[in-house]
Amino acid sequence: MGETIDTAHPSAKLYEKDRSRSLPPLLEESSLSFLNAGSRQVSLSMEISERLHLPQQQQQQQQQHPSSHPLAWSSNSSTSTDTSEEPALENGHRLFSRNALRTRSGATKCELAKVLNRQTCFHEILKQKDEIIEDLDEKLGSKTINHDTYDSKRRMSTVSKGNEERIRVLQNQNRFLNEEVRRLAKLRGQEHEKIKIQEGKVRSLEADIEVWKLEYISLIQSSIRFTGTDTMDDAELSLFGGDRHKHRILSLLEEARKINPSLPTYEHLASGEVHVDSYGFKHHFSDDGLLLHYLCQELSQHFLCQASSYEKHQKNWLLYLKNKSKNLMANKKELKALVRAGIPDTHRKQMWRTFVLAQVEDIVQEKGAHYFRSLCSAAPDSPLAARYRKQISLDLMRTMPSNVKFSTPGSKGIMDLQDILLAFCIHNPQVGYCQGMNFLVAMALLFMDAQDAFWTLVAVTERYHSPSYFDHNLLGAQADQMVLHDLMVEKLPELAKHLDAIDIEISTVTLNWFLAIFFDAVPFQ
Amino acid sequence: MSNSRRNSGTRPGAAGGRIQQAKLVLLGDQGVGKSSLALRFVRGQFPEHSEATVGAAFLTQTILVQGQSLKFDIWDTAGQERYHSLAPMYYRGAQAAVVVYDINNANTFNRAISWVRELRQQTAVNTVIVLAGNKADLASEHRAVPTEDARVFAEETGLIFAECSAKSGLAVNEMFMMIAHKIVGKHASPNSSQGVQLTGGEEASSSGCKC
Repeated sequence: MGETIDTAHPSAKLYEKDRSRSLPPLLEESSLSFLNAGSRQVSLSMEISERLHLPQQQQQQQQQHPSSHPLAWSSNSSTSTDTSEEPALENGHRLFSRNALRTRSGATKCELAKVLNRQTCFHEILKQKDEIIEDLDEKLGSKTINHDTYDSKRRMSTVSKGNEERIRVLQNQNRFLNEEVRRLAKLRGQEHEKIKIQEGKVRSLEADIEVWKLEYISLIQSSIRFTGTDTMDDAELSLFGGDRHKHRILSLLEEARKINPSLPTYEHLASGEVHVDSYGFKHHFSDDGLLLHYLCQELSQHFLCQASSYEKHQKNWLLYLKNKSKNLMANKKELKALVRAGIPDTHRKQMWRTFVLAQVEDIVQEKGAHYFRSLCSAAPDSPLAARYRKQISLDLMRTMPSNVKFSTPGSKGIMDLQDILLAFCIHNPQVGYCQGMNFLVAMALLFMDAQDAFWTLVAVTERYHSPSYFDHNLLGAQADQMVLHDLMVEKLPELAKHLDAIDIEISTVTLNWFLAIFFDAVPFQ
Repeated sequence: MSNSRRNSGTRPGAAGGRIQQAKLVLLGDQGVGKSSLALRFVRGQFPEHSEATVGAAFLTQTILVQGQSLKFDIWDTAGQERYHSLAPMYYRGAQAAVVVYDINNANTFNRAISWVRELRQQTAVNTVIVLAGNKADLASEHRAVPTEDARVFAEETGLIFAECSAKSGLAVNEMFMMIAHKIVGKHASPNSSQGVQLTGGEEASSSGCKC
């Protein structure tokens, strides 16, 4: 059956194709008309399109019919009513339904037209409303602007007059104040200058006072004398002028202690207690004169350190150390001047170390960094060390016994001292141990560690002094005494003559100055 | 050597008498107690730990002997062997030499013997030499040198002999007094000849004041 239908109505397919082709433009048209309604009406047109959707489809169907081929339409309907048996009745029916459809389509057309009308109406209204809104917006805008400008103009005109007045006043004030500022600044500058000058004066006066204090103390110190004859036996140190000077010394000491609390108190020392100074030396006095003498000495040192010249000296040191931090030996001339004026305690370790290592650089390089330690470990079995072991051990406790570092057997200072002296005997068997070295090493140990102290000993015995200085006959040292004697004859002929006349050989006094580098010969500081 | 010529010069003393000067030298091995003996004699002290002597130390002490003041110029020398070569500088012209040994250490006695021999050879015959055995306070436990050995040696070589202790003070002052008596006795007779020396000494000291 299906076959027959297909063959019987070959145009049906054509129609179908036609319809499918003709439909899109229609739809487009309608949808375009909706879209044209404008963006502000999208929601509305959507609504409408929904409502129109159904009638449109119906309309489409109706529109097709008249344009389509009658045959095709009948064949089409025959397919749907294929089973009908009475064609006449069918025709009547058909006519009727066509009429009905026509009326219906007319009604729908009317409705569509109405809806379209309404739509355009809405469009119009919306358009008008938009225009009104726009208009109102514009009006509102212009009004506010008008209002503003007008207002400000009015205000300006009134305010500006007042302002000009005020500006004039303020400008006047400003001018006046500026002048005042200038005047005051000038005065201030002048005052500043005056203060500077005054401060300078105060400083110099203060420095003067320090110098006077120092001189006063030195004077008192020198007036603490042995009473009686020119001999030392059973003489006591006493201070001339009685208690007056003593009280003065004590008050100066109190004052100094505020700056340097490490200074001893009189009461502390007078009660027989031991005072340990900053280098570790113990001081103990049974005699009041000696005690005051010591206090004067400490005070002198304190005032010296307070003096402006010393402050400057320290600044120079700091400056030098900062500038030459890479190579401290860079400027020998400047360094020499600085060292001659004294190395401050804070830099002594560093400077000594630098000097010593510069002297023995080649030996250190040849022997290696662990040379000292290896010598120490070799010492117990070394015959070279054994030769001097007894002599050294005899002197260990006889080296700076008044210093806390070396006052107890077995203490680190004593052990270091022994290590270094024994190590040196192995290092330099030709020289070995010579009394005096113990003091050199102890002095070095006060400021440096054992290894550096060892190198100090090497530097002193092998570099600073000639190698024969400490040999078995102390030839070098004795030769130096001859040189000193000759120098004295040349430079200080009177003294040389005098010493000659009273038959005093200068070397009896000076030899140990040379050997132990003035240890014990000059005050420690 | 004209050792005693200059150093025995006399000076007017504070008490109106004369002060005679005498040079005394302490010799002996390292650590026998030379410095301690000197300190005991001069100050009457004995520090538990004294410092080793480098080169030499100088001390003075004035004592009254036979109504006369005697000032000792004491040269306390370093004991270590290698300072030996310096010793002549100190004992040259000395009127007295104290050779010290440690009675608890035989080696130091041997060293003392060699010192005595050297002194006998190098100094004037009238030089007073004392053999002093120090550290007698330890002798009961540690003695190494019998008193007799030392006494015999001293008698043979004409020395004053004493065993003493710087620590306890035993026999120290007595020893120095003995020396003083010998020196003063020696110079008692040729007193007139010393007058020449005296003026020389004064001139020297007055010129010294310019310094």
